[in-house]
Formats: sequence, structure tokens, C-alpha cells
Amino acid sequence: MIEFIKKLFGIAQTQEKNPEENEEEKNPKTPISTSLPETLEYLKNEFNSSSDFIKREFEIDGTKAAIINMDGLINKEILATSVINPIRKCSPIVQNNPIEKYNYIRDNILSTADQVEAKTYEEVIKFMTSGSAMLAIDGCNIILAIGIQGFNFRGITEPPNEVMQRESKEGFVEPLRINATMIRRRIRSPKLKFEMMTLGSVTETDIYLCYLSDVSSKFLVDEMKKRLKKIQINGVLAAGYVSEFLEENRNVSLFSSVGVSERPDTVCAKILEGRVAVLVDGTPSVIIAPFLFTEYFQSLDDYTTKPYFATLTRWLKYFSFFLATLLPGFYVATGTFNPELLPNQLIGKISIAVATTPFSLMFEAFLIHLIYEIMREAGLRLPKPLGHAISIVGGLVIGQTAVSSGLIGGPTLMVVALTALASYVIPNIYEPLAILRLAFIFVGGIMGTWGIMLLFSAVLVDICAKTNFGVPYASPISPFNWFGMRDVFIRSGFRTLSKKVNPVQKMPGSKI
Amino acid sequence: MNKTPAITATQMFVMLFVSQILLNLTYNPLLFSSKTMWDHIVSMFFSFLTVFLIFCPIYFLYKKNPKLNIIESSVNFLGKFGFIFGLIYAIYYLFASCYSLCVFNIFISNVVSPKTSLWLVSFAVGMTCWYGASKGIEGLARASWIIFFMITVSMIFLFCALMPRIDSLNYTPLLYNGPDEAINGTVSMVAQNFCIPTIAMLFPFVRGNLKKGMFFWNLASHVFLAAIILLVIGSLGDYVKTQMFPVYTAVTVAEIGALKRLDSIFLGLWTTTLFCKISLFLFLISNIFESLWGKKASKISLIVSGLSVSALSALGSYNIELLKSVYNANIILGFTMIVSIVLPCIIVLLGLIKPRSINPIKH
Repeated sequence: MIEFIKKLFGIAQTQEKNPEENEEEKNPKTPISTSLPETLEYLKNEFNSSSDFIKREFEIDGTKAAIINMDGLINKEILATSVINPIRKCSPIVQNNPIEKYNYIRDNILSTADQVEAKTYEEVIKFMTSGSAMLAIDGCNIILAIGIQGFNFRGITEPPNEVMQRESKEGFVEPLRINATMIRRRIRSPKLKFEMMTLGSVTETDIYLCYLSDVSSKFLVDEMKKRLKKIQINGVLAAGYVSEFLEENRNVSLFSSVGVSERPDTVCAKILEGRVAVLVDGTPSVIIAPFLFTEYFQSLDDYTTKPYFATLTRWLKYFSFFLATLLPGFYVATGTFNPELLPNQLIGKISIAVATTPFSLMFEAFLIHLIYEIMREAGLRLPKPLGHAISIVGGLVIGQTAVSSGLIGGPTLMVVALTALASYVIPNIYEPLAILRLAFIFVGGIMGTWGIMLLFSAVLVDICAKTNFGVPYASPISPFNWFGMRDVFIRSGFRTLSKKVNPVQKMPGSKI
Repeated sequence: MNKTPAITATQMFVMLFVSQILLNLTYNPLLFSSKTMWDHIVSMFFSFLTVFLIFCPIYFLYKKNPKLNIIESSVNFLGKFGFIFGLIYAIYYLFASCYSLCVFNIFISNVVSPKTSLWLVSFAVGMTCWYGASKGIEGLARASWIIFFMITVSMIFLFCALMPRIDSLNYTPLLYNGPDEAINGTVSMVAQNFCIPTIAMLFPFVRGNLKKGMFFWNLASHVFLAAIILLVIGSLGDYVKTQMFPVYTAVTVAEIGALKRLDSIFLGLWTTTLFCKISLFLFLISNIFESLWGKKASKISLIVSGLSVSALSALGSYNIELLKSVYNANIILGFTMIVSIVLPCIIVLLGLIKPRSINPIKH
């Protein structure tokens, strides 16, 4: 009985432990030794005598000290002028005790603003790899991390993937803190929170969770943190490594319920709507969640033009979506099974083309789409000066020659070209569209119009059944909400839009 | 099993309306040996009232305990033997799915593309509906809403296209050959109303006013059918009597400006509503199994029922004799009455005779 109670008590104790304690149990921390040689030896071994591990040993009034850092990550000029020179010139220091010396230097000598104390070797390594110079003094079990990062990074430019007409020309860059600054500059509210986390057992990548504490739902923020903490991965080298973990469990959908943007203004607009942004160090893409299907058709440019024109643009985007998804499928289906549905002249043209080419309509559409995808992929990876070559080879050699030699039909080529053009109107949704297009061609060629409608229904249910962080993906179309429509099929004027803020958690059907 | 209301009453009735539209689009008096479609306008009124009466036992059950579906209620009163109710309902939904898919198969093989393999059609529809059902009731209800919108727009378009073709001479006096056709029409309409037993399974998922929703759903679906009959008779006249799919025939002659032959719109509507209907029924079958034997059984039943619908429909479509015997309004009416009135009444009576503390089934 006593054993049972003990066991029960034991279980209760383990259950009471908070997650931080569990984390410590998993990754035990090593306290810093008071002996400087020991510390240096430890760090040297940890870095396996890597050539970018740099230590500079010196004495401060008879006490051994060292500056340790990683080559290339710090600004050497600041290190010399703001750290080493002041320390060397400050002698004599009246304090004899190493800890008192350390305190004196930290409080009176160093002129750098960013100083943090590290108490374990793990913290030391983290700061070093983040670009801090570490000041270690013999006899102290604390090492001072001095933030003098000085690595090179790409300048702030307009993101090539999200070009806007009348918006800011700033895009996110790779360093995390600069990206955070760009958001902070736009939202000056003290309610804007940045919470730091580390992901990747090897890369130890810093990430920021960014949200407006008075607008975002607490459930959303907590759930986001929970999902991020659950991530077990070696390295995080891009936003895509994280975004997949933020989707609903066992999600096999083609569409993503997590958005990505390279524009600080876009991200700020989403944060203002109660969404949470995740900034990942080393990547210019910022993750936004939850993301709704209708957001694929919205862009910041809509809000800088007149409402009637923005509404027209929206409708063009929706129309392009259907065109890019269904046109090749319908073309194959009607051409193969129901040519009577097409106007007589068009049937004539198609039948001549089909009769003079060696392949079936379905295979032809497949083939041209495949060639188009190959050309697109080649155009993406190729150096810019060679881009013209792609246009020449793709447009002239393959396109014109294939049609004139009778390998492929002109109407099919035309349909594929129109489809490709339509898909450029909504570039964010390109990936699912490319897959769906091929699927619709296949279904259209095998089953005809009813097959296309069947697949369309399945895609519709897939979109409608999706939720992320408790918000329905198809909201506010389904579940329907009149109020939400003011910024979906139409773009109302700002007098209407500003009447009432509609945070994401207030979307119809939301369970937050 | 603890169900939380996931959809609103409006969503449920829109979903049922979309399912019911399938019946309207494929309305086929020939299938039930009826000669005059025109007299079915009168049947509409009787069918409208009958549906309300049929709904009463299920509504009473809902009022008694809105958190339990009919299967859970039966298990509550009958214990282990409650599974018999579950099996009857599962067979009914399976039958309704096969029935709808067989009509679609007949349409594809007779009208759209006779060379298409019905096995391919059946398995494509069956598997897609299985996928739809696996996405859950919320996904289906939300998709139905969008399909409802598509249907509304398409039907307005079709009505506008057919309006100029209406000839008032096509409307003969009602009940000219006696009341038989009207009775026949009422029987076939009520028999094919598979939605009432569906509500018996769905109400634990629903929040909102069921009574109001029921009234508008019943009214809308009957008005819609009446409009279709008026339009088809008006534009085709006696030609309707020889047509297997009168609505389709009317659509093929419709034209608006440069747009001729609106077949693809009709086919699109049929396919999407068929998808909604069968997916819903497959979901309900899996829900029955979940109520009786837990989640694992529900998943297995979903796959099995999907395959069964495909296989049985394909077999049925190739066997015309079997189809003829199945498409008997009296048989279907009997089955519908059992699941809509008899079984719910038994549970209601049992509830009155031996009231029990109602506990949700735990797995």
C-alpha cells in the first residue's frame, strides 16, 4: 500500500514538473569553471579546434583574461575600440578580487550597450555563434557576452517575389533582428510582442514569435508556442522547415494554411488582424498563421487603389484561379468526350489539330504542360543573363517548331499558354495549381466533364474541411458572413473597412 | 461518445437542400411508371404536408434528447440489441447512395458517353465520396454552402435560358385523367425523400432552430421542384413523356445568346450534388458504426461502405432487371417509412414506457 502511495506520489511529482525543468533534464547545462585555462580548453574541445574559433589572451592587472569569439561574426573595429582598448587602458584597477574586477569592467569600462552574462558553457556557445565577443576572467564563473555583431548581410531591397506598385520597397532580409526592427518601425505600439525561441538541435536557429498582445487571441499564441516547442528537427535553414509543423496534424491537403511573406508591410497588416508572425533567423520569409484561402487573392496593392478597381482586380484573380485550374481539363474533356458543347468553328480547328498530330488531346496537354514546367524550373535556376535563352528555346524552338512540324496542336498550345498566364496573376498559389492542373487534365481525359466536376467537388471539400488554429480555412465564404464579404469578393472603401476591426479569431465558424 | 455541435441548422438544411436537388434534377416520372409529369404539381402540395408529418417522430426524439442520435438512443433503450437499428439505418443509407449512383450511371451510359465503363464511373464516384465523407460533417456542410451558391446561380441562368421557350399551350388542365397520377407522384416524391432519416442522425451535430430550418428547407425543395416541372413541361410539352431525363433534355435545347447547349452546367450540377449526397450518407454510415463500436470501426466502415456503394451500383447498373425491381416507389416508400416513422416511433414509445437516465455511449 505504502509502495503504491509512493508510486502515486512519484507520478504526481513528475506530473507537477514544469516544461522548463523537463527541458533541463533533457539538455543538462554545464556551469562555467572559475579557471580560465579550463574554460578555454573546454570551449576549444567543443569547437573541435575549428579554425574560426578565436581567443585572445591578456592580463588585467595580473589577472588572466581572454576575449573569445567566432571569426567573421563580430565587428573587429568595435572590438578593438570599445572592448580591448578600454580594458587595456583602464589600469590600474584597485579591485583585487576577480569578480570585483569583472563587475568594475562591466559597469565602468566597457562602452558597448548590448551586454549579457552567461553562466553555462551552453549559453557561451550560443552567444558566440550569434556574434558576441565573450570576455572571460580567471577566477570568475561568469562570462560576459558583448554584442558587437558585425557580419555582412544583404541590403534591404524590394522582394522580387512580391512586387507591389505603390507600396514600400522594403523587403525582409536574412538577419532576424533587422527584420524585427522593420516590423517595430511600422507598429509602434507597446503591445507588439517579440518572443524569442530557439529551434533546431544542431543549428540552434533563433526565431521570433511576433504578435499584438491586445488583438491576437491568447489561444492562438499559446497554441503556436506549443506547436513550435514540439518541433524536433536538426536544423532550421528556411521558413519552410517550420511552416509545415504549424499546419494541422496529419494534413494531406494541397493548400497551405500557413502563409509566408517577404514584405514587412504585409506582415504588419496581418499582425494587425490578430495573426501571429514567426520570424526565422537566416531567411527573408516570415511565416503568418492562421492563413485563409481568400488571402491568396488579396494583396496590399488592393488597398492603395480605388475600391472599384481593387474589386475588379479581385474578380480577375478569382477568374484566373478557375482558368488556371480548370481550363486545360475542360478543354481535354470537351475535346475528347463532348465536342458538341463547343462552337462549330472551334470544333473544326481542334479536330484538324487533333487529326494532324500523333498524340491524343490528353497526352498532348500533359506533354506541353510538362515542357512548360521544365522551362519554368530552368528559368528559375538559371543565371539571369541566360534567361533570354530560355525564352528563345521555349517560345521559338519548342513552341513554333513543334506546332509547325505537327507534333502538337496549336489550340492545345494556346490553352496551355493562357493557363500559364492566368497562373501568374496569383503567384502565391502556384504550387497547388500546378498539381491540380495536371490532375484535371488526367481526369478530363479519362472521365470527361463529370470527372472534372467530381474532382472539383473533392478539392472543394478539401478546402472547406481545413481549419488551422481553430479558424476555418474557407472562412468567411463558408461559413458565410456578410460582414466578412466587405474584403473578399469586393474591396470596400476604408470608411467601411475601418468601421470595425475584424480580427482573424472573429471569423465565422472560428473556435478560438 | 461526446459530440459537440459542429454545424448550424442553416448549414444542415442547405446541405440537405443540395442533396434533395439531386432528386429534382433527375426527376424522372418514367422511372416510377408515371405517365403525366404535369399532375405532379398537385402532388407537390401533398408531399409538402406529408414530409412535415414524417418529420414529427424524429423531431420529438430530438426534443427528448438533442445530444443523442437515433442509434445512440436505441442503444440506450435496447442495450445490445440497439445495433439492429444501426444496421437498418446503415443499409438504408447504403441503399440511398446506390440508388442515386445507379441513376447517374444510367445517365452517363445512356446520354453522356455510352462507351464509358460503369465500373470506372462507380469507383470514381465512390472513392471521391469516401474522401469527402472522411473530411467530416463540417467540411461537407461548408462545401455544400458553396455548391448551393453555384446551384442557385446556375439555375437562375438555366431558368432565364428556358423562359423564352415556354409555351402556355403545353400546360393542360390539372388532374385531367383523374387523381391517380397525383397520388403516384406524391408516393414517389415522399419515397425518394432520403433526407428525413438523415436528420435523425445529424441533429446532435447541429445547433440552431431546427423547426424553422425544416420549414424553409421543405418549402424551398418543393418550390424548386415545382419550378422545374413548370419549366420543363412549358418548354418541352408532350415531348417530356418520352424522355428518360426531362430536365436534361430541356437544358440541351436552352440557349442564351451565343451560349448554346448548356449540358455541361447540368452535368456539373448533377455531379456536385451527387457527391454531396453520397458523401453525406457515407459519413452517416461511419457515424452509425462509431456510435456502436467506436472510431476504429467507423474508419473501417467508411472504406467498406465506399467500396460497397461503388461495387453494388456498378453491378446494379449492368443489371436492368434488378434495377427495375429496385425502382419501385412502393418498396422505397416502405423502407423510407420504416426509418422515418416506425423506428423513431418505437424509440419514442420505449422512452415513454421505460424512461432511463440517458448516458452517452462510451467507447
